[in-house]
Amino acid sequence: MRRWAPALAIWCVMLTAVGAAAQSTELRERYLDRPRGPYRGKVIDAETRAPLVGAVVVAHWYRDRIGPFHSVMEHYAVREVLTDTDGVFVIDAKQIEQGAPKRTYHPEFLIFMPGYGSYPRFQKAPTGFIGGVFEGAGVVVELPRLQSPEERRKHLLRLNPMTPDPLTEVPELMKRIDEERVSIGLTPALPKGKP
Amino acid sequence: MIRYVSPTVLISQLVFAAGTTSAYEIETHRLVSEVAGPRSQADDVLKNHLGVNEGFAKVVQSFSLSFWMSDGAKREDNFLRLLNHFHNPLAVGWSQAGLLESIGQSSIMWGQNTGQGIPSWSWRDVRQRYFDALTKPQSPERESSLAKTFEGLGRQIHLIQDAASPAHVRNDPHLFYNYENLVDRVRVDDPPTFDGWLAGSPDVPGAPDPRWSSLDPNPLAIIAVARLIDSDRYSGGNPAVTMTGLIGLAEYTNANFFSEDRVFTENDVDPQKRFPFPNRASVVEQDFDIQVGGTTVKRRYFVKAADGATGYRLATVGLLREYHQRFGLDWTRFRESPALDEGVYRDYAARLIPRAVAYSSALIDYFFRGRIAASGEDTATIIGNISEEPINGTFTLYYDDANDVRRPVPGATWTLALAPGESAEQLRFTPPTSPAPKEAGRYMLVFRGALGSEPDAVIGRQVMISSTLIARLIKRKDATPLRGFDVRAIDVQTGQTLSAHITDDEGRARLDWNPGRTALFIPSVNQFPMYWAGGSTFVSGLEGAHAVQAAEVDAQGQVTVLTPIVSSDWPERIEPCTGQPMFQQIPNSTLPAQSSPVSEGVFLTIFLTYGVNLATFVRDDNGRETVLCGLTSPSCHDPAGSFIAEDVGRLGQVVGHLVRDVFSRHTAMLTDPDGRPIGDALCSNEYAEVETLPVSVVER
Repeated sequence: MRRWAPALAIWCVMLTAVGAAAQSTELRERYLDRPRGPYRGKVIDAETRAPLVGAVVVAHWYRDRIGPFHSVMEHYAVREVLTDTDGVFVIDAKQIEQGAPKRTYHPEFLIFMPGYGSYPRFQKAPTGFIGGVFEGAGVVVELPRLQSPEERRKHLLRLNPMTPDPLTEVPELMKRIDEERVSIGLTPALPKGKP
Repeated sequence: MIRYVSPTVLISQLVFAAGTTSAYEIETHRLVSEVAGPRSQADDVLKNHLGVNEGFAKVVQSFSLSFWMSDGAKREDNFLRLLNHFHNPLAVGWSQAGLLESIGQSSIMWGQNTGQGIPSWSWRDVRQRYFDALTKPQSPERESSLAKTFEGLGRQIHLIQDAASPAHVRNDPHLFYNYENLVDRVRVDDPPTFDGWLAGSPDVPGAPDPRWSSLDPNPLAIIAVARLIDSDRYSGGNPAVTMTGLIGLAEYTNANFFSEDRVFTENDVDPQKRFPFPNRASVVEQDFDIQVGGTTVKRRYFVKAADGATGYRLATVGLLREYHQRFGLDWTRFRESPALDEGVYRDYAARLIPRAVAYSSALIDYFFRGRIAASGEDTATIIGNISEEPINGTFTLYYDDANDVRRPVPGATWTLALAPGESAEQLRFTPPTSPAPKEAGRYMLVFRGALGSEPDAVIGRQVMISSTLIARLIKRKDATPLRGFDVRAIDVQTGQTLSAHITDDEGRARLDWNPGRTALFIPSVNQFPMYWAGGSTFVSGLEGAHAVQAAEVDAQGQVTVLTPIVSSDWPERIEPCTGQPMFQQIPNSTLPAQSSPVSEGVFLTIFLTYGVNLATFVRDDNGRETVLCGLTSPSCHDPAGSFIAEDVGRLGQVVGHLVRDVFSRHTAMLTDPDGRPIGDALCSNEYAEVETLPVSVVER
């Protein structure tokens, strides 16, 4: 034991240094520095400009958990809401973000409506740099209608519910993914009666 | 040899190595995998080889196979597994190629280490899960194993993707801000740029040279996928080789990129940090416009200009570089601190991410590269190797019963060694009957064994192998083949004709059949249709027919049916003068005169005329009458035409009566050789009668 004591001391010092260094790196831009919500937006059909009612909007927060020998990016929280009759959504993230541990990332968003290309990879707008677009007044999200069943099938393969427990945490998303599957002739994904 | 590592060094290494060690962020792995999967052949194999019609979109346990693969790529970083995701291609050997030689195992060896823990996700473990997905009895077990197969593939390609991260191949625990963070930030905030990296570009080679899998295996990790990470062709002195397609991804990344803490370390005193390329001779300096706080400014970069890949920003030129040059400072004692900024990392990602996708696809393709086929029928099955590599192992047929329970077909296992394009023919098996298959003829052919250099590969192929039997009709009386007769296989449950064929010269007809559910129908050997009822018995209706069992088929695939050919018989009286039948079943016929010599120049000549006004056959069992002929009929039908199949079992028995209104004329006289009468006729008798005669069954 005596032989390991110096090593442990060095280890503790280094760990402290590691934590301090983390506070001053550019990485902090990725982490929430303060609560940024609520998050707002409006979802419309890119062609007709009509609001999309009942589109599901998922906000997902990751965090970095730093362990003694490693760091992992892991699920922290998730919220889903549906757009209202005007295609508008608001995600009140106050509780999540105020209680968020250190090294919690800005939320990532997924917006999906059956028959449409989803956000953030298939939307017509906003495009380009989209970091933080739902903060403050929010933004209008234009989703394009997908044309062929094959296009919709390929799109489905790119849809990922992100959370470790989608059936419980994002039931509306899973329900709509199922609707999309059935409408293009695929077998339903969900067990009967769920979610 | 076990190297001695002092506790202090070890703990220090652990802290630095693992304190915040990470890989491409997990969502980056997910997206790379989402793109790599569909680019591979897996979707085609699922749809066209395994009968999984929805391919990657197939849902298992509420999620698509695509999800399971990308989820596996995410999960591979869980807990301390990530310490085994490093590989230094310039290490003395692969057993020292892990993080800082001793912290973790080389990612290559980790990927092939069956002792990873519980559960283990090594290549062989994934192979086992694939085997389970093809062979487990219960459908939920198979589906679960299929999901785990794809999760395992996700974990395997995670290791490939990490080889496209400089820190993972340059022995760099890469604390805090690093390439992977930048890539992930672009993923979140600038999806079009990230998607562009995923898509690659024409000037960035995609797939590795297909010969990668033919490189000699390294005994420490014999599965060829090791070569996707390290081909052992880059020695540290030949960076140009990393620009060929025949190169491991770790070698390409190691030789051409820096990681945060391994910048220009060609002369580093620490051998764990020393990497010969890129070095200061590999670069030129060049100014670039960059945006800082919304303002365009110039920043000077080292641009890679030699020694392998070229044409991108390798690092920033340190702020003190100018002083260094102006005052001729000793650069070995003066750190000018080049940095890896966002521009550098974007240039890296544009070259590394497409390779991560392409090499991931290559691994998936390698997993599913085995191709087999089967055709023919159970009595003459053909199994072929349509892979590009030889195979040597065991082929087994499985079938699903009505409850979706998958079962091996008894006796349908063959050990075969087949060269590419070669097939084995004339294989035989007995189609399963108990329990009956859900769909006759549909099987899952599963190979397990050596595929090229891989010792324990697994290949699956859904196949249709028709079941055939040879119905051989033999005339019971003299065992001669019955040639040219129609024989049909009838489904006993539906009455549907499965197949029909005419017997050949040997009396054989090859028929598709469903063992245990098929009856043989023989419509024309006799004048009445017959279903075989087993042995030499026959019935007239399908309900009494015998369902042929697989066990009845002999070694030649034949079922021999001894078939009696029957006709009718009834007694005819003899006319006393002419000695000929008093009546015959011949409507209104005067027969040609019959002459026979009685002495020299004298003949006995007989003239016969027969006629039938009406002849009817009446069955005794049901009284059914059948008119055989009338006054104007050209001929009379045989009463045997009114027999039924059951009558075959009544040989010699009376089954009905012939009721007929007949007449005849019998004349006999002596004639000379020219036919002229000699004297008066010996007799000239006419008969007319309505008679009833018993008709019995006789075998011909």
